[in-house]
Amino acid sequence: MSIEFLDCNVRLGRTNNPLDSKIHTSAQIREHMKHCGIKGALVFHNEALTDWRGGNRLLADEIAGHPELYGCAVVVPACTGEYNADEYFSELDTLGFRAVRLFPKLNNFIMKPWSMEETLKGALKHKFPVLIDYMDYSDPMLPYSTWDFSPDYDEIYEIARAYPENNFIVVIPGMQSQRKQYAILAKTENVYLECSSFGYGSIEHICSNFGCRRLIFGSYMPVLEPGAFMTYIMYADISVEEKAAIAGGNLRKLMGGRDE
Amino acid sequence: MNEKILKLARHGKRFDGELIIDSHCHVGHAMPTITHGDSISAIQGTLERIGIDEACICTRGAGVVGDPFLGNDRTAEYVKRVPRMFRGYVTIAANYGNFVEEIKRGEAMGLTLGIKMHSYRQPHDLNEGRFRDMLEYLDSRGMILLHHYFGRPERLEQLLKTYRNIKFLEGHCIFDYARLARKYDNMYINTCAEIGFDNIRRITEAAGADKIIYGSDLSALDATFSLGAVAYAKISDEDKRKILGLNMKRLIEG
Repeated sequence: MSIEFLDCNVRLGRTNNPLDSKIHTSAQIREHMKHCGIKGALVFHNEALTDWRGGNRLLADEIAGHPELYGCAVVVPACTGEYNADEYFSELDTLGFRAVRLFPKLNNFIMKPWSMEETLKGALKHKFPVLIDYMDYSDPMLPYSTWDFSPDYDEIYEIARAYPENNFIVVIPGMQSQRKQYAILAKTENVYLECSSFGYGSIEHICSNFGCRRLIFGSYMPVLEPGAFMTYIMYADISVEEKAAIAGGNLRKLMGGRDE
Repeated sequence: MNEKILKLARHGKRFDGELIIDSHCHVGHAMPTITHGDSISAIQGTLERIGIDEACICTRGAGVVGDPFLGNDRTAEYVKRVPRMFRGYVTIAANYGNFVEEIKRGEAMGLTLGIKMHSYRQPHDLNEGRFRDMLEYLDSRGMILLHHYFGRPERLEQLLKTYRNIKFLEGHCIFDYARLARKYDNMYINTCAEIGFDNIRRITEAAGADKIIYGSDLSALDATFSLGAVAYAKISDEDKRKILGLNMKRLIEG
């Protein structure tokens, strides 16, 4: 059985710290994907961290003609009147976008059921999984602070329970947050964790207790090195079928099989 | 560029035929995390499954809040049970004294590599006089001093000049120490927890492949993170072999 890797967490574009974007163009990212053996990737654009709509536009240009790159749009709550979720997501769909990504901390919004209704209904209609990124992008210790970092799992629990048909992927789930991660896996069915920053034995524990379907390979390339996390999956003490699901099969399903 | 090691990693194959020594491992629990399967047999099984030949271990919990003396006792149990696979450091908590006494106690239990020190809540500078006896002892024995963080490079440089027989092994791929690794024979850089993009190639270029040593932080982290970062690095297989095992073998035997 062959194992195909689809990366749910890749960023294009320059940042204000060149150490965080040693490679940043579509061509450079694709070259490194080839080196590692990554077949496809959900990418967002760094510029979208400053100007979400403008960054998404730039991303559409970068991924055009490159079917191995699937767009991941940065969005904010539509209830503010900044955009119409259904119309905007229809546009994104035609441009090759396959997911949306929320930055509640960076973009300073409340990710509660009452504020996310329009956005999540739009995402569901277009079969976009919702990636959730709680990182503090002003933290000078990034990416190494991800050891101690933890997303707001209480907020994630509330929204996942309120919108059970949406699928939520938590990126950078926190290396030392197993007690929070396992609790949310136990109490929800539609929350998935990026299989990157985990501790020793976590893959095996999650597969045994919650099922391999709850893990999605993601690397945060080009800030972090994808090979580190691919090796974590490839050497885990789980079956080949479980490895294949985590490496790419699960993400493919969440994107509705539209990566082909 | 030969890519045998990259191919092994991409296919999840055991690293048979390659010498892999993990220079920076922990045993035991730490409070914020769930540590799965850290029994001696479980850790041994993990290492054998991957193809890691030897693990150099020290206690884990004592780095932050635990009892370092109890931690050394537990570390010694691993070494005693599987001596072909486990080698041990004595964990020294800088807030205590009688360091040489604890090192000798550890040596008697089989913890013969040298010592491991941490920085958490132990904000001491090894240039303080209270560490002189300990450093002289390590120097006389040619031991390894593995440290989570040695502090400012200029302070570390004084130690490198004074204690030429101690093998100073920094814990977490601090690029500021690369210049010292180039300049001093007794300074080494650890890859432990270094999963930043392209950083293994960069640190190899900065410090030289002879001065970089693989470490993983197992069982706080998984052994494979740092292993994968080296395996996928855009450097030669010859350099990867030095990093993954040959350099540490030289330290242990030298």
